[in-house]
Amino acid sequence: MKISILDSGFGNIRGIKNALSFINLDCNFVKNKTQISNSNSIIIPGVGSFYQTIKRFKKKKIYDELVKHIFIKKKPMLGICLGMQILFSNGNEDKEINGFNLFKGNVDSINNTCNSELTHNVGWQNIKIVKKNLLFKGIPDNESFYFAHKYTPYNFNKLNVTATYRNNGKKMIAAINKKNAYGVQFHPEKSGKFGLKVLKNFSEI
Amino acid sequence: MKTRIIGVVNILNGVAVQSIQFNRFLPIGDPKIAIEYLFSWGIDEIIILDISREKKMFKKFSYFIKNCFVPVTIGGGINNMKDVDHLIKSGADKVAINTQAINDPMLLESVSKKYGNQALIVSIDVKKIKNKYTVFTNSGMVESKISLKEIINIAENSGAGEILINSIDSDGTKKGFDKRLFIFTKNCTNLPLNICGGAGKTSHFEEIINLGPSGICAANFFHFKEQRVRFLKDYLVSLKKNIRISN
Repeated sequence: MKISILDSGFGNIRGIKNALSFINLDCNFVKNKTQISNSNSIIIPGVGSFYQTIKRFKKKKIYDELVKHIFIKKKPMLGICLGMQILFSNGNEDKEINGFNLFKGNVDSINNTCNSELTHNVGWQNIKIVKKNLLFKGIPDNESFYFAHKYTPYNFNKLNVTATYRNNGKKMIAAINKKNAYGVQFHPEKSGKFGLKVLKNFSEI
Repeated sequence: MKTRIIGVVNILNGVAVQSIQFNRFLPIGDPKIAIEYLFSWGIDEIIILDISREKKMFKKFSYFIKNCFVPVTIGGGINNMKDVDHLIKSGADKVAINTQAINDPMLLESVSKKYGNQALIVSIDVKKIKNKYTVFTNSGMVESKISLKEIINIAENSGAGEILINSIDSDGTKKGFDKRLFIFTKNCTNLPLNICGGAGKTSHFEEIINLGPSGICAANFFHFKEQRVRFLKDYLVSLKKNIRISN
């Protein structure tokens, strides 16, 4: 099955393509409405800020096509890092703006959401799989994944959360899922062998 | 946060090399293969430094790191934003800036603004001269007038996400990390601190990990023995150190 990577114009998406190629998965970059409409499984990488990303999606008229993909066609979708965050109700990075509202919750800086010394979560964190799902098939609990973010969802509905990590004792979202839509806060393309396994699992959904 | 075990690959004119005190170099081989070995042995991160005096390898980096699925930092000879853009496009997660951090601190600010703090490492080469830590640029060739404290301040004020301290004296000696240099630097900053230079045996990592580095870097230590990353990690895990276990 071919996987499409959303190329929203800037930033490093080569890593995801390299990872998919390494595990022998066919992939292409999609940029516009028609290409998204023709794709089956789609990966939304996270680059830039919440506000910039939603603005850009709307300007390029791909926002509605993604809504169709997620809510109407219900095709497989994996949001990575910011690509996961924009699936929440709204974000407060740069300026406040509404997200896809697939998951209830708000996105704000780690600094504002959990009085913690760790304001930039950059590095390897063990994740706890709290709900079994296809994305984590064959992945042991407490395995470490690579994170690089300073914004995080809060006030979220625990129901959809599939994996968490701890920051200063507080449980934070590592992964989330509803039907065919998946989101991971960590970078599977930078998380070694088990990160590649997550991508492989996604290709089989 | 887990202490990261970081593999450094020095590239001289397209060949991965072992560096001894920044002035003698022994060839290791194809950088792509060296990088792939480090990845498959379970390294947490990789830093690639182009130490060539000229002929930069910028064009080849995307090829070198094609099969590397942990975070990658690229440094060596970064002059301007165009270089940074190119390296990030090639697949680098972070860039390490050394000489230009002193010559053009504005570049640091531009990088952290455009790509985020996490994408910028200020790399500092240090040598002890007359019992004083002295900062060097241009691959250890040029003595800088700026003090270690000053360059750390510059890094902090311009949005660097991490600092990498290389001890020129310890480089390639296998005699252990410069703990005093590490402590001195740590007292100057709250930024995550990576130390490089001098790793010769597993106990050297144990000594330094207790001082609280964010990352412990080594080059030669990993390159000349099979599975060295695994052995090191097994050893540190047996001591209950907080590192990433990579099976």
